[in-house]
Amino acid sequence: MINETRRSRFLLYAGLGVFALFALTPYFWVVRTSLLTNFAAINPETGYLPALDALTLTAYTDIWNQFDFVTFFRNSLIVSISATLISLVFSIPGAYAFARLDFPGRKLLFYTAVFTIMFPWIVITIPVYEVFYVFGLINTLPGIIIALSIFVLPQTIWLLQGFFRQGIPENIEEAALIDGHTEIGAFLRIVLPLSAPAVGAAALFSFLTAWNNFLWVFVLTSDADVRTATVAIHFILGSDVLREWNILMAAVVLLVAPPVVFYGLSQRYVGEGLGGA
Amino acid sequence: MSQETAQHIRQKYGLEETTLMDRVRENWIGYLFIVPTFVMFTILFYYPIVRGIFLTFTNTRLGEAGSFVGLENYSWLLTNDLFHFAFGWTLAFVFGTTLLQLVIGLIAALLLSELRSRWRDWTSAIIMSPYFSAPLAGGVIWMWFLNSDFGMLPMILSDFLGVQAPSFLADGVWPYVSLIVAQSWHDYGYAGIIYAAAIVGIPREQYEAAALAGAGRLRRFRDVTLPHLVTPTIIILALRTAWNVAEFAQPFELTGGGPGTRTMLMSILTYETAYVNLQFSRAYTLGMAMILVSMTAAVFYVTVIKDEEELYV
Amino acid sequence: MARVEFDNITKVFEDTSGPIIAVEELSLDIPDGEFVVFVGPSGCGKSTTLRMLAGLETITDGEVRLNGEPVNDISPRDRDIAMVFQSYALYPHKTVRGNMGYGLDLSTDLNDEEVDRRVVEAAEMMGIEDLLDKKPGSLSGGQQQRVATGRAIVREPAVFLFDEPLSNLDAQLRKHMRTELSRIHSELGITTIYVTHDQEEAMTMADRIVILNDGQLQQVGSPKQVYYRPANTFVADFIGSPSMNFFDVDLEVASDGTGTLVGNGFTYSVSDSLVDLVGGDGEYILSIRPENLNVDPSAPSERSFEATVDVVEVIGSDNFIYLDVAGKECRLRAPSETEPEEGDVITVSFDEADLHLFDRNTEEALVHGHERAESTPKVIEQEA
Repeated sequence: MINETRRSRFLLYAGLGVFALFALTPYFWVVRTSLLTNFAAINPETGYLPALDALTLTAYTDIWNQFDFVTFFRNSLIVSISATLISLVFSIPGAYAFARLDFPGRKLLFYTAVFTIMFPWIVITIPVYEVFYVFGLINTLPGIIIALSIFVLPQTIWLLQGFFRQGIPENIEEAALIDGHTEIGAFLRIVLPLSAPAVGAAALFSFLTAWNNFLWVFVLTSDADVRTATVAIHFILGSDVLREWNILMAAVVLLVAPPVVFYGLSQRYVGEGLGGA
Repeated sequence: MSQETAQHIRQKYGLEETTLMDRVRENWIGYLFIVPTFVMFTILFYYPIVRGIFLTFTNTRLGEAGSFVGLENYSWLLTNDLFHFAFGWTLAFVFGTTLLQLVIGLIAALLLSELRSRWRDWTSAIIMSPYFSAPLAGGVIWMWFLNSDFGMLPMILSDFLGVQAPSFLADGVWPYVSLIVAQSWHDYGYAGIIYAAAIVGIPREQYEAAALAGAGRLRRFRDVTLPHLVTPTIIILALRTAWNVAEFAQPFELTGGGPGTRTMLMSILTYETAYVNLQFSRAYTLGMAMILVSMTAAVFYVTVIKDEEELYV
Repeated sequence: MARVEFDNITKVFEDTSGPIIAVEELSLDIPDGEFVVFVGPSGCGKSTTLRMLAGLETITDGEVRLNGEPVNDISPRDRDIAMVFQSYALYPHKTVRGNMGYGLDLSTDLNDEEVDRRVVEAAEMMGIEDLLDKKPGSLSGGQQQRVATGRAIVREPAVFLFDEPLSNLDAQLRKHMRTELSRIHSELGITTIYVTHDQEEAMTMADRIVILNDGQLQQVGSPKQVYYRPANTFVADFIGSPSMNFFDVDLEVASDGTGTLVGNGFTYSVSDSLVDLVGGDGEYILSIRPENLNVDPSAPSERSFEATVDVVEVIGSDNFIYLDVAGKECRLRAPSETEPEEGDVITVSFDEADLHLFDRNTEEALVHGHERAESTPKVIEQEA
């Protein structure tokens, strides 16, 4: 920094420390609880930083026997992966066309994207529920998958179109055309391989968005066997069952860890060139 | 130089004869790539919106077709006390948390921008981490953090300050504060990311020139940094307003609109009307109020972002 | 055999503000083996024309023919062309070898050995044979340029197309590459169409220069032709550095038949033969190249004028002297011994054989020295 002094450096670190504390402290309390026995978790004697021998992983092993978390996490995985794949199938060509080709209706797509991103989704669940009800998609995994696919589609398109616009060298499709490809060939054989990192990042973000989703699963399902982990935690919390806080918090950790870890890593590797930022 | 009018030019080269079919044929690849997406949007988004608006003029309940009732739902809405309260509180909530997110995010971005590269990525990941957790999880995390019996905050307050903490999710003004703080904790990372990207784009020379001219830290912030932050701020305001209005999972988990209906947000009210009371038409009517706020933000956003390349998703 | 014909080509773009004519009714015949340079300011239509030949832009009206066959509706890969882009457009994920061989792999059924042989041969021609296994990302701009050119050479096409290939290089490298490209052309003898905005590049490389402005053909000719006999004021101004001097003059013919060109701040007596050539008195544009102006204190007064020295630029071999002639800038190139001071008033003269006269209204050339300008279709007539 300009005119850096010892003092200003110290203030910087102090400030960042405060932020880190603010960000991490709530997480900390959850993690701490998950590493204790239930009794220890609610026992005020345990203290803020438990003694090392009080820590245990029983919550993480017991969780699979309780509350059917195997099913819940499995559903989360199935639904997130499927929604990601479907949205990629639609959004890769869509983003490419929007970024590189010129066609009537571009403006419409742009406004659609803005509109969908900013629309209050809770409101849309109502007519969609109606439609799904008619088609028998309520309480089914396919129903959730379809809903989540459309939910992640706008963000995927926008991530990818940013890349297609800036990350692909100019004129490269034209060089491919002259070298001997058809337009579709140029897209499949030259552009797509070049987009692998961007597609990977978009896939990751879609997956995590679907993984984190509560609204659609909550609205569209009531049966426990199609529930995802995100919704399951809500139900467990709201039930009258004697609280096993450590297991519940372990579930929260398992739910939150993948997104935080992956998003955190991606900050490092993705960042610029992949979207508006 | 050609002085010919547009009409004349088109006529001369036979360009007027291009029909829709001709244009489709010429651009068929573009259409092929785009049409599936459009179809998906139409079925699962545009159609439902229109259907929903239509719903508001009927008295549909879940599972039963309704009959036309004209503006009855709207008059119910406008005379409904709970709606008035929820709408007002939602506006206050959105205002409070959006502002807080913006400020906290800005400060975080400013601090991070001064770090050297190696540490910056990790620190950034840590500081932005609340944003990546599921909002639902955010609700559970704060519920546990604020829990009167087992939560960390009440414990700290009693251990270090000797104060008996209020029930943060039930007593007096605290539920409102808790909701806003928890929401801000979860979402300030978004503003942070946007601001960080904007700050990185400010050429270092501008700061150096200002420093050479004698500007101190605060002055440099005001004269160099701030002008570059106007656009991101507007973007964040528009997007976060729309998103905070629609926020459901975290507040739902934290207070569920309660105690009673004291923290009833529009999103929760809409949910309950639709899926607890099964009154679809009324629920969508409530939704219209939310749509109004979101779409105002959207219009605002689109007029600022004329350059379609940057959507800051 | 690769003869290229542009037959009344027009390109109209539809923009939000209405249709834009990028290229207007261009006709041009390029015989086999010729190195033709399209030159003009930005937006003149040169790249668009090139891309129409390549098949990367559709043709609104007219026909493009390759060896007599119309190619309007043929896709780029079937046109037997190779193109070098300003941005090089190399495939980042392939090696140099892969980049150069890709077109051959795709569009011909040559076996791998044959492809490799051709790649190595072209690489040697471009001096990049030790870069064959590297990826474009690790190459400098100049090296990437060579790879792009090598990629085109390998195809052994009927026509080479170059779209401002040297514009992203620094000045010295650019000059070097110019010579190399000319050398390659004489070695391979393949018809080449080269687009640039740099008139110096055009002059040094071309067999013939095609000058475009605003979508319209201004002149086609050899470098000497366009330099010494520019068809209109645009060409006269565009070609040559420092650029041509222009003066509005009136030709006054006295009762005894002698003519005088009267400009702002000077007069110049012309010979009777010139008066006859022009055909009488009237308003014209006089233009004269900087190197044809001389600092000559002993010149006769009726064939010289006075001017004040504004700036003197010492280049080394010459001096560029910027003069003030009644408020207008006039450029003069003088040998390096001639170095007046700023503010000096000097006598400037020129030879009648070096002057050009243009019509004041149409800006077309009328007289070059002692010859009448040809009124052949160097400039396409405007539709009334």
